[in-house]
Amino acid sequence: MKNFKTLLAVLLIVLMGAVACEDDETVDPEKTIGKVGNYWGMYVDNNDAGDVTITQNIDGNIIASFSYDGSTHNVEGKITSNGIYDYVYSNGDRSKPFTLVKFDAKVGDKWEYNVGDKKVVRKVVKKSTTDDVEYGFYYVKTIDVEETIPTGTMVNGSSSEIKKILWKFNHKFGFIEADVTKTDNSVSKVTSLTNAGD
Amino acid sequence: MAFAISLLLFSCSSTYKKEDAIRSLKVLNSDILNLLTVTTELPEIQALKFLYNQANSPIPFKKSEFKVDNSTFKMENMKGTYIWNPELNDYDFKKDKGFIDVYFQLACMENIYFQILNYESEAYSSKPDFPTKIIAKILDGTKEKLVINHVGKVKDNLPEFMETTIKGGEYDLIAGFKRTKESGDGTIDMYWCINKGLFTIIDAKILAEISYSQQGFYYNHIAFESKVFNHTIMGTIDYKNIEPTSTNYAESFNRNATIEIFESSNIKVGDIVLVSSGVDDLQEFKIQFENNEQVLLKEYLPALDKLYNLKY
Repeated sequence: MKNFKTLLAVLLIVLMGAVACEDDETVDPEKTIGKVGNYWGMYVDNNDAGDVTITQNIDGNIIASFSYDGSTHNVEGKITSNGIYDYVYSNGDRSKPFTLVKFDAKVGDKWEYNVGDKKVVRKVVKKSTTDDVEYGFYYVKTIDVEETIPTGTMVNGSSSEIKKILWKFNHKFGFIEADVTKTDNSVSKVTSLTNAGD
Repeated sequence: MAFAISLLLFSCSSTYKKEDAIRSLKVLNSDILNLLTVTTELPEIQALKFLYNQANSPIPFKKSEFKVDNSTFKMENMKGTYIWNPELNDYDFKKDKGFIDVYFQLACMENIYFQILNYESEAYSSKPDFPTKIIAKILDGTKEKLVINHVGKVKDNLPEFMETTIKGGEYDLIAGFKRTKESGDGTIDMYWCINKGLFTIIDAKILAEISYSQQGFYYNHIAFESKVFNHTIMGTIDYKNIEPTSTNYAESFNRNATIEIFESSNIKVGDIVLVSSGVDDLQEFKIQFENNEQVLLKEYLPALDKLYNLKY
């Protein structure tokens, strides 16, 4: 379940990716969806997974909080105008961000993060040319990133229970959805149906 | 201090030629395999395997389709006598005492039972929960075959310290862990050893410098030394300077890590290095001999693979 927590952590960082579409990498937290106090509702397989709330944003480096399993958890990430980065695999080491998406990326672009002798790969597998993915009352374009996590990859001190994530992002709304495949091959769909930035 | 003395000692070493290094590795591999074989055949380990494999065993850690979850194990609710019923493939239960006794049959011990006198655990930022108190025994009649004593403490949602001793008939295992925190930084000091009689079979120490984050902590630097039978594996890993997103990660890792294997007489067997295989982004640990030739570590130490993949 810890990995589910980690997944939520990444997802909420992604949610704040709706700051995309600006031309430079500077970040004014007050003008982004990562503004302190903003919150989102998360759903896993259509079940309410609670809210995530921004509690700190310093030059794009954010801390967000959510409740899970009776406890409050904090996670860190970084949002710039052109990309979203997380510190999941570095366990919070801010000197080692891992790119989750860059909105100007092309199909085939990939980013890698090494954990010991394991290599986590995030690869752009699709970029819509038409509004073809349902999002609430809209259809939107997405950029799809497939994340592959080798068996035995350590996350926060234990082996990852997730082996693949297919992320879908939109340049305006940020995170759209993710199909998460666990090591037992079960698949969950994670969505955000509300957005404080609207 | 111990690391400094070791570094001094091992810095005066000579290095084996490849052929002698291979012989030395084969000896190490054989020592590890023998230890695994002897350990898995011990009656008390057979007993633990039996308990681990039964879904209804009243123990906190047992085989599960999913990740081990010991949070549901509450000693208070489980006290009593459990007697294995092979016809039902389950335990008969009597709530008759203030601790847990588990009776079962093993071919190698007729009057075996497992006793849990105390077990407490505490949730922290990861799973499974961290045990903070364990007193347990395996007995054959009145004779103690294995005695487990463990204390631990959680602080700031992370394990802070633990001391564990497991005493068998002719051997004992001692393990310890201590974490410190000062402002945003800290240290982790870990050790474990296995002694058989007067001989120390394994003696491992790890000293890590860490920094804290919202997610827990991350490593900046690790120094370790592990004596395994007649060999010593020691090294340092300067995590802070390793670039995990580098296109040449293996080079970055090797530039910031030194891992060496010695035979106990201070003769160096080789260096352990990370090498990109060039296939499917795979990276593998290899041993580099005196002549700079590199061979997959698991080729000469397949026991390591066996150790990593122990399954019951």
